[in-house]
Amino acid sequence: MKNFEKFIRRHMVNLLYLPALVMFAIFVLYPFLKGVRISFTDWNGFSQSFNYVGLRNYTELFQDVNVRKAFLNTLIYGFGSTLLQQCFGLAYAVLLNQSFAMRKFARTVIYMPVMIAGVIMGYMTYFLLQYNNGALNDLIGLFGMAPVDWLAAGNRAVLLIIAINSLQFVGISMVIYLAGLQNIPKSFYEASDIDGAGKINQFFHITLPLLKPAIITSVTINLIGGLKLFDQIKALTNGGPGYESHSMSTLIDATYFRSQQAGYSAAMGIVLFLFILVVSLVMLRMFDKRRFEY
Amino acid sequence: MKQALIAAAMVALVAVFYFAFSGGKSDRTELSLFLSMQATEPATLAFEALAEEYMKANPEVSVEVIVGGGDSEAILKTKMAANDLPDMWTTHDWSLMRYSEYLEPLTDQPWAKDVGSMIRPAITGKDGKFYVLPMDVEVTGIPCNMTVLEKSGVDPDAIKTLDDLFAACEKVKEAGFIPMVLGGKDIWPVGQFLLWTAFSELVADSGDSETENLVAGRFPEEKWVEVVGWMNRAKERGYFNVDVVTSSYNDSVQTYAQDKAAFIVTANYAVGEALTFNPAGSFGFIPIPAADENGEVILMTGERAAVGVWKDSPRKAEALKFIAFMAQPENVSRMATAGSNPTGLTNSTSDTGMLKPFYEKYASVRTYPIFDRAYLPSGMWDTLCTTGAAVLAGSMTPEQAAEKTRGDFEKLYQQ
Repeated sequence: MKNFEKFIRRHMVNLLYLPALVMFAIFVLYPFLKGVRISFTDWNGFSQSFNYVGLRNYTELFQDVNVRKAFLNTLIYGFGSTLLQQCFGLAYAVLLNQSFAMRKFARTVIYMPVMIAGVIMGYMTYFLLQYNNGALNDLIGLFGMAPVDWLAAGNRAVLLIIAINSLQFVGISMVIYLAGLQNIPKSFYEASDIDGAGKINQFFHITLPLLKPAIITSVTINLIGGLKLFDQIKALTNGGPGYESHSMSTLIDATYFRSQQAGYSAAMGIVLFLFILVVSLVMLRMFDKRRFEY
Repeated sequence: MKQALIAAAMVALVAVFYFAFSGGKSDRTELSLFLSMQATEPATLAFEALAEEYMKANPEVSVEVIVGGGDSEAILKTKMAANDLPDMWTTHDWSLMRYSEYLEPLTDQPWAKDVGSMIRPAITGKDGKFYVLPMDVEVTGIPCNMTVLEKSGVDPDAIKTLDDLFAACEKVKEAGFIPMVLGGKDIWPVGQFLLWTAFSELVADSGDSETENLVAGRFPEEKWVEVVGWMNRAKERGYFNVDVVTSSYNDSVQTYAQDKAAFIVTANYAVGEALTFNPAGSFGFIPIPAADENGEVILMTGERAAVGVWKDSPRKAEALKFIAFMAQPENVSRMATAGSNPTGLTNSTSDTGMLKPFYEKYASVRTYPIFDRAYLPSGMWDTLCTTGAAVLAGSMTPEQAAEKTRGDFEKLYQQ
């Protein structure tokens, strides 16, 4: 009995995380391993039979211009959205860290889009941007301008998707930076005031360096979210026109379900996974070297 | 007291879970019928009404009608992958190429002899077997707005070739209307346009048909450039709506219904949808024109309210009884009338509403199965839609589109 209690005490921590580990294995690890296996086949996604094709799917995807386009778009979505969200998130946080009336209301309004599903946000903005009866075209029509088909040009569609994604998720960056700002001791600013430092110097020499933990968190979350972008693209352009605004995620979906090339689609998924893994590890390593204490 | 309350709450919770997940065992045979249709479609409502009637007449059976909506195909593919399918489902033109591996052959059913000649070629495999009860026939011509054509001075009966169609488009454009409205955001209407030109160029072309090559796995890339070329020329000449790549299918139906466009790039069912927006509208259809004067105009026919039975269903015998009930002439008539389509069985008739005079006028026009279902490997539909949309957007040339289509054709043909 004593031995049993000793065993429980020693391994209690392991027992507590066991359910989470089992769930992870069932819902993440097993499908992932199955995906790896499928990526070496010509499976169409529904048939009971398939053939192994070795590395054919992988060699083909490196020569596929549409995969290249989607990969480039994925980078633009990932890094573009991250950049915009950091700039605006930090600006909002600095502004809303000041005392003024309606401050809480303003914070709520900026954070609110985060709570909307991506696909809803996509459809809402589609109705703003559509050629016929779109609110934006009605607005520019008041100034005598001709209506514009905003999402018809691939490059413009990509930029609009970045803007809409950033608008939706800038609230997350704002909250992270607000928390970071509120953790910076006021004494630093008081000391720099005495030394005669202006607001700009204070921002670049006190605020920004001490926000590094917040920057790490915000950049990592936004970058992973941007690289996996799916919902807004699906609702706004469906990857079009043609293949112009596809991200890797939407192209994987289209290749699996619409083109019925599950093996090829799985190979794309594995490559995307590896890419996000490498980016995340590089970022963590990069930021890890810059740990500091107040 | 507090402990008693907690205990009561726990008991209630367990009871809720028990009743929620036990499902209450029933003595009734529970059949599932999956519809690849939208919830609001008249055909869906007709299926539900017939299921209700069947349950009333057969209290020992319950039929659950599941409406798949826009995700129907993805849902069915997932279920096929798991080999766990509904007892019955509507096949939406895929009874042979995609679902035949999972469907029970229905060739020996009592109603099989009544399957009409319009739908029979589209549902019958090389071995002579078919796998669905075709309650109606989807006929695909080019839906047109008769009011716009009249105001533009276009005689629809004079359109025999694709050049005639383009000449008509020019007249419509000069009259200030949109010649052809296409909702390209949903991309499938783009594929629909390519079905028309593919038929004209590759199937109905006089003495130069490519059907044998396609079936044998040889893709005519050079001719496909011409198939896509028609779309490219229509775009360059301004025959499509300005927002052709970004407007949705619903937008295009509204434009067509509001007497703003002469033709809509979709199938005849657009007429029924247009009438919901404009009940006073005047709509019809023309057959798909030939590539040149020597070719023939044609109509494409396919499955709409066509139901198959899962061959491994544990309730197969009961499902076949339900199919026999659905195959009764009065039920077939009701279903076909709901979809404004001709019936699939010869022992019944339907009211096709506004399109009746057109069906009568084109009764002698030769019908073919839907192009991609008959001549391309399963999965090619998306390639048609996406490459076509890329050409419309100017990001691909017809040559690049044909090259990509050939690549996908060869890959999918080997699957």
